[in-house]
Amino acid sequence: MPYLLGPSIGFGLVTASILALAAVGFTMQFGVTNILNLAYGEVMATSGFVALIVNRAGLSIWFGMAAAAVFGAALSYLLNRVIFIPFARRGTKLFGMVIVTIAVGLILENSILAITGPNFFSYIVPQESTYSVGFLILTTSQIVLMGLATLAMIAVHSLLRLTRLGMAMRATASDASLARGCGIRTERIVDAGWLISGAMCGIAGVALFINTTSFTSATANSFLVVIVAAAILGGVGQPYGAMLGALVIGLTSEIAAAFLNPAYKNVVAFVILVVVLLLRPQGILAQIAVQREIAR
Amino acid sequence: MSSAFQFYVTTLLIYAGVDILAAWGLNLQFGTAGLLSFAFIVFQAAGAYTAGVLALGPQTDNGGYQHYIGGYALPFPIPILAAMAVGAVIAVPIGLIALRRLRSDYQAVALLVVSIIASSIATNETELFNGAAGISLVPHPLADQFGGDLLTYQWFYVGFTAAVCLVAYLIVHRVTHSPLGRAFRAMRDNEQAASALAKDITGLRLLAFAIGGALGALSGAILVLFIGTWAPSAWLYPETFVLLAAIIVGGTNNSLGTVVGVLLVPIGFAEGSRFLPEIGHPGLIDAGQWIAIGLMLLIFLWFRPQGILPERKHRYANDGRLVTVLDELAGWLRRSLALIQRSSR
Amino acid sequence: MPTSSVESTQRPAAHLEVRDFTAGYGRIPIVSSINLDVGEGEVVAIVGPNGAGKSTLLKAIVGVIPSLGGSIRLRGDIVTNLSTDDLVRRGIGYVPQSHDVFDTLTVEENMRIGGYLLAKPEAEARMARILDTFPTLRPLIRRIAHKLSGGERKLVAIARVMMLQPSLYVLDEPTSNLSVELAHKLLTDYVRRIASTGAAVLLVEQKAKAALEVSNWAYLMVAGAISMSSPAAMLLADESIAHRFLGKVTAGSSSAPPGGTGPDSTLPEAPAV
Ligand SMILES: Nc1ncnc2c1ncn2[C@@H]1O[C@H](COP(=O)(O)OP(=O)(O)OP(=O)(O)O)[C@@H](O)[C@H]1O
Ligand SMILES: [Mg+2]
Repeated sequence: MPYLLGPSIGFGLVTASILALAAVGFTMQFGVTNILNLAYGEVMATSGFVALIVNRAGLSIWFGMAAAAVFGAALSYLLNRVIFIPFARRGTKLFGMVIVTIAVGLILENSILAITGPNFFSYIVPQESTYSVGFLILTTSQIVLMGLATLAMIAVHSLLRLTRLGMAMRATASDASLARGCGIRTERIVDAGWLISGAMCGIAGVALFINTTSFTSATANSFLVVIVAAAILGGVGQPYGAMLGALVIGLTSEIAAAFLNPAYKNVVAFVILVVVLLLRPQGILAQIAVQREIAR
Repeated sequence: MSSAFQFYVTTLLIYAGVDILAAWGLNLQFGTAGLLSFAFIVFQAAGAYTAGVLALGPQTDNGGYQHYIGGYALPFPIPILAAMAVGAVIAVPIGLIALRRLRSDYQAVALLVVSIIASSIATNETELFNGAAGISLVPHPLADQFGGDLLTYQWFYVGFTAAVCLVAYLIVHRVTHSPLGRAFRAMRDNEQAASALAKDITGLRLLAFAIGGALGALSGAILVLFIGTWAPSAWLYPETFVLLAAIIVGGTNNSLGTVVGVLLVPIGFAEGSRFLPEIGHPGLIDAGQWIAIGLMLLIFLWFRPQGILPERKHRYANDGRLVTVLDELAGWLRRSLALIQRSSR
Repeated sequence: MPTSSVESTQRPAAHLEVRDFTAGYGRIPIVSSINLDVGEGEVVAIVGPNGAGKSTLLKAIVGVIPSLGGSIRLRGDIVTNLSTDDLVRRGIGYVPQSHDVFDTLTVEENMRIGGYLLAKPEAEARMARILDTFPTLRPLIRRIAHKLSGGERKLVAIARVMMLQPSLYVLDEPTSNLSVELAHKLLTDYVRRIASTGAAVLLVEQKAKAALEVSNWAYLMVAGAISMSSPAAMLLADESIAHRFLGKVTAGSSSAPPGGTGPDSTLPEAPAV
């Protein structure tokens, strides 16, 4: 059935791109700070709505995306500084922290809802043309999104492998106390981690909204679980694992949507996740599942 | 009292009873046994669907406009009892997926996923429980005894819910004050020590899950037999979060605290304001409630993480000695384990 | 127990001065009223039974846990309650007793992170030099640290700290898990050599005899307090003290080898290094 397989691989790659942007940011927050931030979807959403404001003001959506990146970075940084770190200092444990992040997420999502109402919005995207690449047929914005995700992945890779900041981030993720023992100012590294992952979160929010064409205040939140699935599939805290997880989940969910019931798009992703949790709870790429403390 | 007002009060009382039952179930899992049960609402849903489709007549009733499995028109109280059994039984597969040795925050996420999968299946498999529209026209139990006097029936249902709550309270009290309850708390406070005391920690977790699940299902059954309808939109995963908020606000692992929390959180603003007039755009009040719940949680976790009525430390006035011994044992085990771990590094 | 000290021996100018120092976890003090000096170029050993609070003291000195009172001076500057990263930048190199390497990273990455504060060419040069000093590490360079043997881990941890060439080494049981020869070599050769370059060493050791043999000064720590401060040779020579405090008296907690039998009898089997 190549006439179904072709487009679904195309959709799969686009979904995987968006998912990769989101999941790498999510997993980085977890890796560097050890917080499973379930407000991540709402930070995506608020950033997406910031881009909407910019877009409605007459600027291109790609400017909107840049604004969303800045906003996402700032919001994530502030959430960590103003809420998560103080709670961690107060001795809030791992799952207490999960509740805190959900509470923050609820507040964010419903603040948007209170402002926008339960309405559907869309960006003004320039006239799309379609291109056929091999057996795939893709629109302009789909190609841009895929390119963007690829660039972001290369950037993350270079950051982690080639820069001093990346080295410090990996050291902090591995053992924050020992990293301080090497002269690394882990507090700043954690800040940098939130800024970078927050920017990715903002970009991912806009990418998601471009791809879904019309969105509400709840759109990003329903995507969060897919993001978490990709991150856990790859082993939480592992950026490369998140990329792999995004690819696997993006492709399988779109192919399943084409061949089974479209409504089960996400269920397939979750079933993969459940199987992973049963067989290899630490994820496919994780070297070891470490019980660490929240890093600051 | 005007009859409209009586309807308002009775409805609120029944909702309160349902939420209290559910919150006790969740409190047993979360507060007592320390399982961050983000899929809790699934138990309530399972109970509601079970009771609903057992109480309903065959699909072909009412022109066959809805599809569901079951349809046996079983008499009261069989649907309720069956619902509880289903709640306890589905705890096992859910627990086996999510409660294996994962970090506590992973567990939470795994359960969140379970909740979303369940909801997605109930929505899309329309043959099961009539899909997104949900089941409706579930008959009220014993309604024929009241010959159409709806107000009296409302009061009867309040009494029935209260009686169920009383029985549930006795059960919860019994469980938490038994050796089993102590094992749950030991597991919550120190898994390593508990696994040394009671070898089968997974069994212990599943048991807590099953008892809490049965209570959750009971609450769902009582609710569906009262309102007559049940659809996926009634049990989206944030609903679990409302119950969790009630428990944290009221006081974790304190049955009375849970009642206070329920009266404040879901009843106080979620249910209470359903009767408010709509202001602003549709959904504004809803959004405001959620924001308030989120803020309230943060405020409580910051200023009073133990809740309004904290867990009682001296709960065994007459056999307090036993607990101290256990605590000492747990502490001793903890220390020696730490020592062994250190020296084996 | 009153602190007995030997005033006659002349000690070099203090590099690290710990005065009336109290520390613990939360608000509960584990070690209290500690007075301790490490002179320039000195090797100072802290010995004592398990659970005496030796590691706690070191952790508080290097800022891993906050102090509860007293002061610390480093080359005369007050550094009490500075964070670990600040202290490292001021020349302290700390090897913890456990969690002493970045488990998820390779040996090479561990060492690179150890040289985080250095310019890249400098870091490369030092890494090459350290690998010459510990040739056993060379073949392991791409190995993930959690796949190392206990002895290999310790070497990596020490090598990592050497990257910054600290002026004060704070070592918490650096020879645990090392083979007999390597432990001996580490103490008699490397530790002494570090001291001869002018750096100071503060050492906690279970192998009390071996540690005392390479140390200039020694503190005996019992139940959270310094109960003796004397030249290392003197503690080593005093059979009865060594016997009482490092051996039989504290036999309840599995303790350091008694002075008389020598360290070798209780050493773990030599790991392949
Ligand atoms: N993180 C901690 N929290 C609370 N108490 C601790 C902690 N770490 C150690 N302790 C306690 O502090 C006391 C001193 O421990 P410490 O590790 O300093 O001993 P030590 O002298 O280094 O022993 P060893 O020779 O076995 O390494 C012990 O009673 C220990 O149980
Ligand atoms: Mg120690």
